[in-house]
Amino acid sequence: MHFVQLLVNGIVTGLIVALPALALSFTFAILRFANFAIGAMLTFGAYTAYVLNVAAEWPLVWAACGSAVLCGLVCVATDRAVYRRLRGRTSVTLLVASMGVAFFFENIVRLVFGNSIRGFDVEVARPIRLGELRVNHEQIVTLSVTCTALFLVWFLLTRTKLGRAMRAVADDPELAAVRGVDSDRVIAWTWFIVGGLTAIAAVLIGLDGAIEPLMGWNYVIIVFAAAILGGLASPMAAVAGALLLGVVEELATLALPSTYRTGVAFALIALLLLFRPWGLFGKPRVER
Amino acid sequence: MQSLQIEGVCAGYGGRDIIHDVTVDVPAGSMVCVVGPNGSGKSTLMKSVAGLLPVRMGRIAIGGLDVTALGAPARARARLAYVPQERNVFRNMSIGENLRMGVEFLGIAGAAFEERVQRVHALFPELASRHRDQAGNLSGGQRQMLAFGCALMADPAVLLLDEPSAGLSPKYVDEMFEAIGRVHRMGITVFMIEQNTRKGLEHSQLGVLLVSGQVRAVMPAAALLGDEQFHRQYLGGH
Amino acid sequence: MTAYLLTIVTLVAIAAIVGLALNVQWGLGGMVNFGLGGFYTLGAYSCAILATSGVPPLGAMLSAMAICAVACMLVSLISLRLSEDYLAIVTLGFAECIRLVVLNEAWLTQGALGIPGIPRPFSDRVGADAYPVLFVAFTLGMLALVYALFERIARSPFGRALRAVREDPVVASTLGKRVWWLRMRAFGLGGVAIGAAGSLHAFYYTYIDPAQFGPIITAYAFMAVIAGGRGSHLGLLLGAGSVMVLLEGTRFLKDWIPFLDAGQLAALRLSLIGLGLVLLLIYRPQGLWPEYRLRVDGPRT
Repeated sequence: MHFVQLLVNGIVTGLIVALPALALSFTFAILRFANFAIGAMLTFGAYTAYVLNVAAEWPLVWAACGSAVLCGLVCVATDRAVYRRLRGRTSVTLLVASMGVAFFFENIVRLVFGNSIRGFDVEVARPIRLGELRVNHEQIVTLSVTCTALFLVWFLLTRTKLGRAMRAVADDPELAAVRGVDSDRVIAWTWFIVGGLTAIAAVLIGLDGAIEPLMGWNYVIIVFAAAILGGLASPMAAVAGALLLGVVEELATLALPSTYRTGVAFALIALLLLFRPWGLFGKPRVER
Repeated sequence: MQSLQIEGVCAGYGGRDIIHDVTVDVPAGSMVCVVGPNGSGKSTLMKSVAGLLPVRMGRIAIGGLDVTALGAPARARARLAYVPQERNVFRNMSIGENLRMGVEFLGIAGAAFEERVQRVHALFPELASRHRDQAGNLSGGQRQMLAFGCALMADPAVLLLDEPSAGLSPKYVDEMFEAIGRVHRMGITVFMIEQNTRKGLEHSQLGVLLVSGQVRAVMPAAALLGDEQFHRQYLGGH
Repeated sequence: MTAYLLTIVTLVAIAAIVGLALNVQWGLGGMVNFGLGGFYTLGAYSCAILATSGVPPLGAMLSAMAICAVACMLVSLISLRLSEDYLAIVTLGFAECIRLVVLNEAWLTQGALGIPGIPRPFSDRVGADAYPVLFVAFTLGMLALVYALFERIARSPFGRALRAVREDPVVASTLGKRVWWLRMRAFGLGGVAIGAAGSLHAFYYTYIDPAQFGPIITAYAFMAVIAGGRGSHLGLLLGAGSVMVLLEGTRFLKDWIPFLDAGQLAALRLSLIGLGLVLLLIYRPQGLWPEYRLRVDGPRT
């Protein structure tokens, strides 16, 4: 049952990646640039939760919620301070700016916390056996948390006023303005959601692995690969992309050492961009 | 019924004006059509009035309320509705959602929503049966109808139409202008730009000739339509 | 003191070469290369592996330059038809792959242990005492060569076509297929310079290991290009120079800020670069010294 175990592991990893991939496609669809700071935001989210959990001694659940809110606010603030001032410029400028933002946040974290590996203050639970499958506690938590988060995002997008506003701005910002949508508010909410989703994913990653300054950076390629698989500007498809990527990566460990995960993601990106740049689930669209 | 006043408006892109000192007074409840050769600045004028392009100089007022400093969302709340020419519906949303968008962000309570939807359906029966279809799957003519319907959902006082007949087959053109006529008779002030000079001026009370970003003539539409000289010089005898 | 000065000059020169490469790829060609560090690593390791296998140092360097050029061209090919966002992620992905290979394929790269004993060019010509001076001269000579070459290219029809394509997508679409060939060559040219810089790095330190290569190279280069005004080679030299001097100067801070260790100082440096990048983009996107901007672009219409 080795294969099924890999499948399960892959789906769980995929679900974790689904959250920042979703966040990334939001920034792409609504803010129209590729946010390279997504990795730094993951790191920041994990460390914020770490501080709340270990230093302030909050239970991890509350630490995660606190981190989500704080990260959301930091993202909104970063937008105000940086991206808003670059609003009229080319997407390349925004790209490079996001790189600068990434350097800044990641290294502030490194400056304060150093390079040593840290961990959350949680009880270690024994893995559960379902027949021949080994499912550990973190995976179950991941499954439930991510599915809940994804459901909430789906609900927000399709059933609420804010969700419609976000979809409208993603579809056509000028038309949205003409219909009375305040794009500044939509953008602020978008960043808040982006920060929140990323922070939650960061906590899940930190649970499963370790908390260290490079943790977010290691995920940048994978997150982008997932989003590109789904078609960069399509939020829900990014989730599908992430799941697929997670499974492919796990299956790839049959042939390659697991440290080459990023390589697998890169190979997938290269293949996609050469043959199907609009992603597996997207539609060919005219370049903006 | 509200009037629309455009006074001495200069606007353009990248520091260069496309329209110069444009003044048009659209009386309350009237229908005014702006015509002119390609590139004369009609679209720029429309965008300035809609609030999508800031004016460098001049004043725009809706029923006496100065909206020059307001952006498009605020003007929408001031009961100005705009139907753009091409990108006029949200393609990734359903017809029902598009209609809802017409009203949702204008601070209007939910009760009136159903009533307005019925009104739009009465005008465009084709839309009624396809509530859940993606707007992107509609034909050009149907999208135009939907865009028009969305603008009407807001119960506007002033309606801006950017080339309502563009890209429509003759059947749809007639249907469109009939709908415009009906809407106008309900008391809505209509300000449109049209490439189809004949159709546009036939239905309007006032005609404005815009050439190279400047107003060359403002006169009763019928007179402008009948003016041979203008036609030969600027309008290519359309 | 002299030794320190020679060090600074050498390192600044190497960084300037990388900056010039980015200037061609991004400044002239509009192609964002987030994987600069990876190509640099590729150059350094190619040179080191070849030189320690018996290839004469200069030959190793030339080979490394060729390898980098080809790698650049192939990588850029993946996303040339698409918007710049994709190239950024593709180059970054490639850099990550290089990093993984260097770290894990010990049969080739010695993994984390690194490659020691890299022979240097002309080392048999002068004595050990005088060699640093010779090496600085060699490095500066390479810098001058790259500078002159790129200046020529910027002013050539190739360079003009590149700029036209960068600035006007309409021109780009009318040129059609030839555009990506143009861009690929520009990207490859940058690769040549990066390969040279990587080789110089290998020669200078005579021992390379994966820990020496990180995002800081990419960060420096972007900072230098933006500070210098994209596309302007002279501005880039000034940009690279001042950026590096400013930031290398923080090494001195170690004596005054004893509570920060080397790792933390490095982190401080990087976060300042990040901040600087953002500030420059917001407030001085045209560069710090616009008056030094060469009138290559011609009058603005």
